[in-house]
Amino acid sequence: MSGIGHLSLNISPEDKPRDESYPPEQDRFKANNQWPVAPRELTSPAIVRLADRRALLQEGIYDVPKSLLEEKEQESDYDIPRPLNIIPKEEPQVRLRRNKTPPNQLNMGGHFEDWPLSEPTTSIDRGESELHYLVENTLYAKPSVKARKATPPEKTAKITSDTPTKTLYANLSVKARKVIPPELPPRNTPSSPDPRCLTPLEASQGQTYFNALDVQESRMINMESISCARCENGFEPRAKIVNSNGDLFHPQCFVCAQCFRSFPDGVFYEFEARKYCEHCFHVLYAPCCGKCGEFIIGRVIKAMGATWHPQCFTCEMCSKELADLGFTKNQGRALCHDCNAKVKAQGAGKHMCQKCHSVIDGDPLRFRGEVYHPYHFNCAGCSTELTSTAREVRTRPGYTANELNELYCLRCHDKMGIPICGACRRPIEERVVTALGKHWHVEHFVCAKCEKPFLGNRHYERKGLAYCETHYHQLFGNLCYVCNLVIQGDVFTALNKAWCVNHFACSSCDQKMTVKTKFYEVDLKPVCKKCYDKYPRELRLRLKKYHENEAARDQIISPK
Amino acid sequence: MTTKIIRKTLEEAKDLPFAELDFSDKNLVHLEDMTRMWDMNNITRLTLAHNKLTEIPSNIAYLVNLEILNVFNNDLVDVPDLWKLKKLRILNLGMNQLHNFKVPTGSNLFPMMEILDLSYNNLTDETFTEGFFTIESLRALYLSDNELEYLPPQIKQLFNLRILALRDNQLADVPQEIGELSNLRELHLQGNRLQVLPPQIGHMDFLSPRAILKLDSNPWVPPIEDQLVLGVSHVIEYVRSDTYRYLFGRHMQANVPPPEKSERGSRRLTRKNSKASLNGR
Repeated sequence: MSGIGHLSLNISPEDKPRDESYPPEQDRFKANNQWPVAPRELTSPAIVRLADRRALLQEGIYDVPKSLLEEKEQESDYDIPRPLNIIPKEEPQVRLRRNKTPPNQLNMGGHFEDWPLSEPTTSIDRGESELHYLVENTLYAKPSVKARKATPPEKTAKITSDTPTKTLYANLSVKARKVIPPELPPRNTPSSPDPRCLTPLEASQGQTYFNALDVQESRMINMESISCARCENGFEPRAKIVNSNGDLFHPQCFVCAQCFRSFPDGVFYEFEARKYCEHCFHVLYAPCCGKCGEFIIGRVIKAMGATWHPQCFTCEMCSKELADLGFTKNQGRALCHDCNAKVKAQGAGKHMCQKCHSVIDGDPLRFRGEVYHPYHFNCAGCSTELTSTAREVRTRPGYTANELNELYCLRCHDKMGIPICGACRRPIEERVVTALGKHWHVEHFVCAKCEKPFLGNRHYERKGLAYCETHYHQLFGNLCYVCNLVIQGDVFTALNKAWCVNHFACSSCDQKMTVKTKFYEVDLKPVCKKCYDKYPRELRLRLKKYHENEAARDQIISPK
Repeated sequence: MTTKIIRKTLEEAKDLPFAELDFSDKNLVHLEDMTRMWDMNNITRLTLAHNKLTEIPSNIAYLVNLEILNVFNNDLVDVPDLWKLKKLRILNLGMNQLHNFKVPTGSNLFPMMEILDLSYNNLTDETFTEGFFTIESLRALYLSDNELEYLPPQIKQLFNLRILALRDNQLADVPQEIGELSNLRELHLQGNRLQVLPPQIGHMDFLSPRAILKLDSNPWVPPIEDQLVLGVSHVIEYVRSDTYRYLFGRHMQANVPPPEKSERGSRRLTRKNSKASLNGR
């Protein structure tokens, strides 16, 4: 791909001198009918189908100027990349359309803009409209080292000697390059019109110095008829002449239009019929990156009202490069589509499936620390599609890493022998408390009355329920009738009540009683015989009658 | 003789940290011999059962650590300001003549009171003052053998009540608010003029083996009486039924007058002839 173009140019006397300091562009292209092909620069604004662009980027080729393509049809000798779809420079439709599109629609629909329909091979025709291609790409040319080296003077001389009859001057190896007019308005050049609207001119490079004498000797040029393309003065015999793409200059005239210094390494940029050195051209026309502030050489990303290096235009949440992914504007932030969906899902109080990246409307399935639609997974046991009731099983209990976790449907999970908490019906993966014939989470094994977990403290079982000490006694009577405290040690139980050993006494005279003491019952209070004998007779008779009645009824109910 | 024993007992108890004094059945008519006792604020229990005391000196208010006071079977007609005894937990005033026992209205009366026994006192409905139902700490209330005819709905304020004894009164009605006493485990209703039970009784925990409901000797409506013969648990089941709810509603609408008061005016007299009185003399 890197070849040196051979220029055979016959300059007839009637062609020269020209009345313009620069020849018309077409003429020059005709004249320079052989081109080295790489690297190429992109005319602007130019939009290329994404696939083609990618292919080109892989090859290290940016784009091909339109005029080059036209030339290429005729010149089959040269290896030129396949035609690219380049929007004619004269059509500013893209930009206009973009201006018409409200930013909100851009965010919601994800479609940045329509491709110009006038181009038959735009992406919309290829069915690629689903690509949310939101980044406007442009290229800003930078002369490459390769180009500079393409014209060593020695080589030129050699070629000249090889083909003396055909070549008037030394061989000119021309690196024709379309300079992209940068998108930013030129600075420090108030006189120059907006470069976007103009046909980009070529930046030429590869000049040959030779002596006027040599020219005369070659007898191919009339010294009278040639003049400096800049100052229009003739050349002194034996004066050095610079040939740039067929234009001849005094060395002192072949300088940067901005700084009037000679071009370092002979590299210059031509724009609006002026030649600039690399530095001045960047200063005047190169776009600046909205993030790092540096000049952008090469691919220019235009988005969010600024220009960016491709590597500087990133998602504000995940820092992914957005140039080829496209982005969505969300509250003034440029986000990749994933992050945007995430933000949107969070705003709606919903989760976003980590597999299909869409919002989960129903109950999410949690798996290895992320949330998913349950239907993306199948049971590790029976392979049925899962629902949100699926259980994540830690295959190595105790390990914190969850990469080995697996999902099971509820049925398979229950068959796996993992203990299920008797309270919450969920599997127990930590400590298991076994009591009352069931398994429990430590924190779910609680007092049936106060619902505080026992946490290893004693519990009291009664009728399939567990109680803490206080409530067991309170509920089941082992509080002393007299002191109302939990009875420590032996318990006296009688008359539906309980007593501490020391507190069992006659309810009438407070005399202490023992197990052997005979006592009477009055309203389920114990009364010693001495006191009972002091009770009024009529009361004793009544009490006796009640006792007899109850005893008789007990007899009927349980005849034993 | 008795005086000597009392003096000795007091002497012994003087330095005890938690003195429990028992002067039961000492034939005491008054407490004038015990003036030095009022200085002993280490007394936690004072039992004066089976004596002939007609009054308790207001000096008893000095016994600030008194937890148990038993004046069972005396001739008290009135009680002094016992309410000032903030630590009193058990008060037995049974078998006296406190027809006019009244708890004054006021806050924080008997803040620690747990067991109050007022049995056999010829109490009337006038006993149930507003103040009576402010003793929220009460867990056992014995009102048997009195002349109560009406149990006020405010009984529900005594929500700690576990035992309520109303045996042998003149009650014609049990308020349905009794169903709000969720801790009640013992209810004695024998020997009253009750015909129906409020359906709320059915929702109380009287079927548990630790709960007791006594219903004998009341002029129950026949369905309840029929169930009572089979056992209290049958009455509970029946009271829970819709059938009974309907019957109860009809009964309340009909406003059936309760049976006549049974004749028990001779109770005091009977007591005079009792062995207790004889022993006391």
